[in-house]
Amino acid sequence: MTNKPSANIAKNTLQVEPPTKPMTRFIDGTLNCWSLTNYQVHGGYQGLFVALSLTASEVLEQVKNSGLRGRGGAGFPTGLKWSFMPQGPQTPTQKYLIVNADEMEPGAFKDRYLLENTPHQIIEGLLIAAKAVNATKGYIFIRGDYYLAISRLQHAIVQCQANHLLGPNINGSDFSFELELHTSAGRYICGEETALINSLEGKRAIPRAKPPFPQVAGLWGKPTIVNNVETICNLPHILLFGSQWYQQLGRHQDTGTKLFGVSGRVNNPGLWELPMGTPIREIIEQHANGMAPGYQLKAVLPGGGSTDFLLPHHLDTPMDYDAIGKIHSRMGTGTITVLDDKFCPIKLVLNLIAFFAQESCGWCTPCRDGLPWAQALLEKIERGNGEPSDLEQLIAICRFAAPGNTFCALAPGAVEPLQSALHFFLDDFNQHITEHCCPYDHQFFNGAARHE
Amino acid sequence: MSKLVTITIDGCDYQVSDDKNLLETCLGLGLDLSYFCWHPALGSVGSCRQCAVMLYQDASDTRGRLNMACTTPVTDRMIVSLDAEQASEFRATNIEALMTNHPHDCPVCEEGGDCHLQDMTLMSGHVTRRYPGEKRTHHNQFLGPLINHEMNRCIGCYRCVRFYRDYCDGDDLNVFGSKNQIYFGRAQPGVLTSHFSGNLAEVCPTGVFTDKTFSEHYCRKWDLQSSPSICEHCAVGCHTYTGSYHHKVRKISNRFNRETNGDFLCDKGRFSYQYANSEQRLTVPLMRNQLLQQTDVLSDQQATETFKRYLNLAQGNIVALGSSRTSIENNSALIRLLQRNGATDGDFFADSPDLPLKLSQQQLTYYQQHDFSPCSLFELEAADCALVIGEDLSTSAPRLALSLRQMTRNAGKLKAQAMAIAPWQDQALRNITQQLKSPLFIISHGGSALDDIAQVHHYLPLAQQLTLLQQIKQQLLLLTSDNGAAEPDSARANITNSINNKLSSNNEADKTSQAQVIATALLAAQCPVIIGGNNVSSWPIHQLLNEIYLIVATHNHHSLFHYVLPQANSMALAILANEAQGLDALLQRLRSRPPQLLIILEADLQWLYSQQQFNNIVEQYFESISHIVVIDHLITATAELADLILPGAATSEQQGCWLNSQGKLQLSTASLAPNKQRRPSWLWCSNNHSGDYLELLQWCRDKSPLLSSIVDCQHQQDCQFKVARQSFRASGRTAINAGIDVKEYPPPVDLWSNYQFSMEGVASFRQQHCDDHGICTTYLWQPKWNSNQASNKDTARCSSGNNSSDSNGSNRSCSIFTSASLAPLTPLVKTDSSPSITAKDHDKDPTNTVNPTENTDSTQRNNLTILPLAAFYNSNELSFYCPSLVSLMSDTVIIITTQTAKLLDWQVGKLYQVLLNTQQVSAQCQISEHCPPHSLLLSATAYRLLGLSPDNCLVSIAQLQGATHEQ
Repeated sequence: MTNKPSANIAKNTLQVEPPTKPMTRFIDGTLNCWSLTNYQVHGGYQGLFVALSLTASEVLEQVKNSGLRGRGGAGFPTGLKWSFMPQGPQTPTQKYLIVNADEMEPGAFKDRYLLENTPHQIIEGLLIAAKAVNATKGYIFIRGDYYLAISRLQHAIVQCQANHLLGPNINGSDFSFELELHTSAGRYICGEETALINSLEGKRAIPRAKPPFPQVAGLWGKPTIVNNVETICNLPHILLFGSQWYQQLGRHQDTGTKLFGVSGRVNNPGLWELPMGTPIREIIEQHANGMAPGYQLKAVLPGGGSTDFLLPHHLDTPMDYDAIGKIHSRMGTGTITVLDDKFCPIKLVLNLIAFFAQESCGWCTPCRDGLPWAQALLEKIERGNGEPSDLEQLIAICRFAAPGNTFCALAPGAVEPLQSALHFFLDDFNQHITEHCCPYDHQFFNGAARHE
Repeated sequence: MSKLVTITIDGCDYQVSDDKNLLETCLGLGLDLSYFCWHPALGSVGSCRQCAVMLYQDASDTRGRLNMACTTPVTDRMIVSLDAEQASEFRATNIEALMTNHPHDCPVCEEGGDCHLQDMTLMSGHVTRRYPGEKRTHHNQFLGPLINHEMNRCIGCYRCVRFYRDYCDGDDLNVFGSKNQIYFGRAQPGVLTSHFSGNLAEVCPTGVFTDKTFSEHYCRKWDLQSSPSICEHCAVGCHTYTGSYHHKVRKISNRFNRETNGDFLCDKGRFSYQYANSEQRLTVPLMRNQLLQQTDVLSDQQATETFKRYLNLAQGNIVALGSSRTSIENNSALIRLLQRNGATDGDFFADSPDLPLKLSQQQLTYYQQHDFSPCSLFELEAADCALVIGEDLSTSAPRLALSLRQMTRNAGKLKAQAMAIAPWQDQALRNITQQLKSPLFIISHGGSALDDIAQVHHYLPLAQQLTLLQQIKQQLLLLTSDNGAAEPDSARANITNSINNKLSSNNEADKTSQAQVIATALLAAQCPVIIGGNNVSSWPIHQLLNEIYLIVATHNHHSLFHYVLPQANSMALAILANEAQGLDALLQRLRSRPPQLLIILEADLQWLYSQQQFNNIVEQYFESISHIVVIDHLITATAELADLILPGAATSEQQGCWLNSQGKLQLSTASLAPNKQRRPSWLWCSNNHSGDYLELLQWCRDKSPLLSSIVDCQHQQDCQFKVARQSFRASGRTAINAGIDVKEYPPPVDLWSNYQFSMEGVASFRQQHCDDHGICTTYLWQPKWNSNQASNKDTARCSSGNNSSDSNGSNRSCSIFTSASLAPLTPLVKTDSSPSITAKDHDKDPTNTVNPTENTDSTQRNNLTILPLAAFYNSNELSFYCPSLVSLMSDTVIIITTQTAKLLDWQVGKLYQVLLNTQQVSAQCQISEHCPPHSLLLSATAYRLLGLSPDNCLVSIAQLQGATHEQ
């Protein structure tokens, strides 16, 4: 895989202007930056070298100043999270850094893109994070189905070990770090950081009680930071080009860039690195090239399968954590799912609820027994056997599984599309109940619409 | 340290302690709040979400926030509402959700009427089922003869696995699957291996795990006639409820007692009740008719007269054998009988070999001389370092072993405390603790089920145990004399270092460092505990055990001690019997001066003596004894040889006092009246038919200062009422005998206790009423709380934080030792390393055969030392009369090391015919590195039957090589 650097790539290094799409700057059909040589030729590991020349607290300060927020979905400020890690001689010397690469959110495929194309960017980023929090050992917890990403990461780790980028005294500095790749057995709940830690310890993948937070007592009871792949990928660039540069990348309140994706019946479904705060409409219309012919946009799930629906009149909202929060949804993973006017919203919600009911770890009642209950009601309605009282029950279940009522965020997230569908598409529900069938199936059977 | 805070619940202010979670606090205040996953002993994990309450920031906050009470710490000025609509609606929805897959099979469920799920469902107000989906179904598993499995009833509270795995460290019960398909069971059907599996029936809030022995003779809880009783199967003396119905004991359940059993019983204690229903129970007096060569059935009067005649004929030449498996009253009545008929105390013998009896008696002397007393299990659980010497606690005191498991978790609790995590935050605690354990050291010859939690287990033959203990003592003296007091901090650092250097080999230099590790750990601990026991039967080890404790205790006043005894009333017998008047002395007496009359009280000579000795007794001595009288409730091998058999009452049928190894006098009351011609043994021994119970107690009180509190521990003289053993709901009392006789009989009269064999009297759930008069409840019941979880509503239980005083009504148990723990210790061990208690006794004792220098190399090379290996159920005589337990008893095994196996060319799993002590024994070979070098472990039952003892336990390798094996 070690390619000889060609002439036109060689100039593409440090002297280059700070990029506007830092995370994907290594990704281009021709660059093959999953190999160490190519990655380094194109400016890889420069951010790490900057970090190695700084102290841990200087790195932490840099990241804090950048305003980087966690890209896993919750948007918690990364620097602040790191600062909760106890430091000093009284604390355990063994500290862990875990990269959460267990991407399984319905509609999300952003981490996969980074994992497959820039494995070294992830290793570089996690080394910077490790340096900042004085971690001694790291794990990449990766979804087991990401075969290509797994093989490229494995290869990248071996390359790094052979080139003093992992192991003792990285690049001649006094910083040492071990890294292991752990392939997940495949549960959505492992995306929850404490369930991930349990799974990594070989225990049942159920979330842990907090406090203590993982920063204080995580993996094997030791201080642990868990960061999302995309969060980690921002770090080399923040270190290399500075937090000032990073801040000005955002178009609205939040800083930096983000991978935004669009799926559904649009002309050009895909994934783009765009400034934070890019309006939803711009993403769908300019980058995804608008709705496919014959389809109207009915609603969007802005950030994956566990976010509330947004309607067409919301489309000018900038994709920013707080801005999306203000209109009662969540930016989540930033991967937009478009619902068109020919697809039954109840079917979509049923599909999602069935997924989440299936992926419930079985620990707490509202999730374990509440979601299958919602699923049973939705199936009943979708089959045409629904009764008006079923809607009341669905509303009650949404209230039942609200945040704070459950042990972790799975069930509250799972009912977000349902609760907003009950709010926005009540007519669709009622139509199912009064007509005793799914009206969209009706269209389908009449040949009025056809989806592949 | 906890402090008192004020909280407001639904408008009322309460003063409560802040060391508990909100749920436990509410229950302690007598409020009704539903829950499933929480358990007072297992802590909080917040999985079921049933205990939701509203919390308000301040008086102006009207919206509030839903919170789970079990994971919420109590804080000052907190404003809580249980009744708020949002909270009660949530609880109702929650229970509706977790009932979606419940089969609603209450009418055929054993748990019905005793079911936490029923209670909580009613309490939460879920009445209509709305879930439209199908119920999921599961396959059930065979889990052995003790526990039923009915997984469809499961509501997923996780308490079973949390108890089985997290609390007891069992590994063969687990949760499988995910979402609403979670399955609690074994990887494959099979007998549950934990010796605490019976608690699953109580821990499970519904009927997934139920008591299989109870199912076999099932009756509803409200039909049970119950009484507060004491477990008679080991010296821990756990508190139980004995439930009976229609002349049969049906069920044993846990009776919460903070000091001993807490919330859990061992399986031996829970299921050994079956002997009382055994077909081998005696119902009528029987007399051997020499003339006609037959057995005559006698009436009460005939039996009493015959017994009297025998006593008169003996003219004072009487010998009596007492029993450690029956009450103090029965034994005392026997001694009084001797005294009344011209014999003396000296003619009374205890049912224990001389040496262990002597050791127990010596231990009592130590307690008194040096003013210390054995600790309770509750105190033990708070220790942070333990040294167990010579005892296999998992068989001799299983409940204590479970407490020791909890003791090892204290290191984690301390770590959690530093992170401001309360010890009841169970899940958080376990995540913080991980593998961290408080140190537990075991020095024994093998076979402990505590290996998994022990920091180090030294498997050594007696002689080497002694060497190690001597070195520990030396090290302790060295460390304590050096600088007055060892500095705990540096000592603690030392211990971590030295433990990290793994200890494995057995050479001399190493042993010193091993001793140093243990000595340092004991001195570094805040609250070390030293546990020994009667099993060792070695005089020097027994002394060292006490010396080591006393050195540690002089250094640290919080040090604890416990001495485990073999039988429920072993300590009482050690008090009642004269010095060393044990089984060996009895043999001596039979040989030297054969009595005219031998009275055997609730003891089986075949169980007590080796096969050879038993045969000898029968052949040589029984002929010369004119009359043999056996008073027992079972037809034992000994009873079959008697001239007169008097049918005694089982523990469940009589009132009696028991003295546990902690030195607590505890009263066990009858659950049912003795049927037919059975009567308590003390009544057979008394002068007249009714017997004077109080007079008997007074005699005990005067017999020994140690028993002076026996009268106080009995029923209240001034109490004007009686407590009903049956519930108000008991049905069919008048119909139960209708198949035999339509006449309605009055209930039996209980002359001696504050309880009544009927539903008349004060209902037991009127706790306060009972408490005021110091009477125990006869069953667990609270308004709205029908299941055993009513115990968690006990205000007494919840209010006493770390006060070790009795709860659950008041078990009027009295410690026979004064509060010694606070008294300054007599400095008895001089730093010149020749402690005062040893020298004299050591020289005097002829049985001291364990000498470290005795085992020379050549004897070691050519011989193996046979050591007894106790088994859980096999160690209890009465378990042999329990059908469910017999199938769980282990076969005779021989455990050897790999090295020995090679030498002998033996293979694992094969049966070998071995000649030991001139007798053939067939045993299965097992290989374990937990067997001490140059030794073989032999099942304790076989060890006893073969008449082996520490003086007589060598077998030559050549002899073993000659063993044949069967297919």
